[in-house]
Amino acid sequence: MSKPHRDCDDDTITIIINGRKHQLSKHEVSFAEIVSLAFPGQSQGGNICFTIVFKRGPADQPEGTLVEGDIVKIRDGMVFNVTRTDKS
Amino acid sequence: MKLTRISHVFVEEIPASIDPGVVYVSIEYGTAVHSCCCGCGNEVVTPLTPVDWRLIYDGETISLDPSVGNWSLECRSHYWIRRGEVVWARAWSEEEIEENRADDRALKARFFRSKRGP
Repeated sequence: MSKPHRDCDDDTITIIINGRKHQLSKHEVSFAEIVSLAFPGQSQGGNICFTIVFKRGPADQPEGTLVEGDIVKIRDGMVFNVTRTDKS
Repeated sequence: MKLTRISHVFVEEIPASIDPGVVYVSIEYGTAVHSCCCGCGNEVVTPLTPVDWRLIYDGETISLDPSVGNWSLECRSHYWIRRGEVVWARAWSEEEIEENRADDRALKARFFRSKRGP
């Protein structure tokens, strides 16, 4: 027997990107989507380098880093930090 | 106008719109956000993680370590935030920037691989 389905009717997931809440109605998100949510209107590519780290993710991948082209499963309360700034 | 000092505020959520001259720090979500100290208006995000920036709070001021290199922005500004002061630093060459980015990617990959275990 399958587990009871516990998803809410509206099925939205709240994730936090750079300290700000975003509601998404899907279960996975791409590198490019996270960048556009973090920096709306920012062009991607060229000499612009974005890095993403995340935590509080699903059990199979609770934390990690994303590179261009990656897609990651999300869960409620997952925290993404996206920057276009270099440490030096 | 280039800033020489910057204040800070501790928040849970980073506000949608931020004022220049203030570093917004969210311990809950592990990040610090400020408007570029050169005055260009771009938002600068310095994640607080073991592989990104460290924040030091001495009870009055904050410091960020290492420095803030905005090579992805048009202004290409580079500065330290030390005890509430903005200390301007030299521009980097393309080679230095590329090498630093490659090191950072390797550091992050290694760190998360080691946390997952063998």
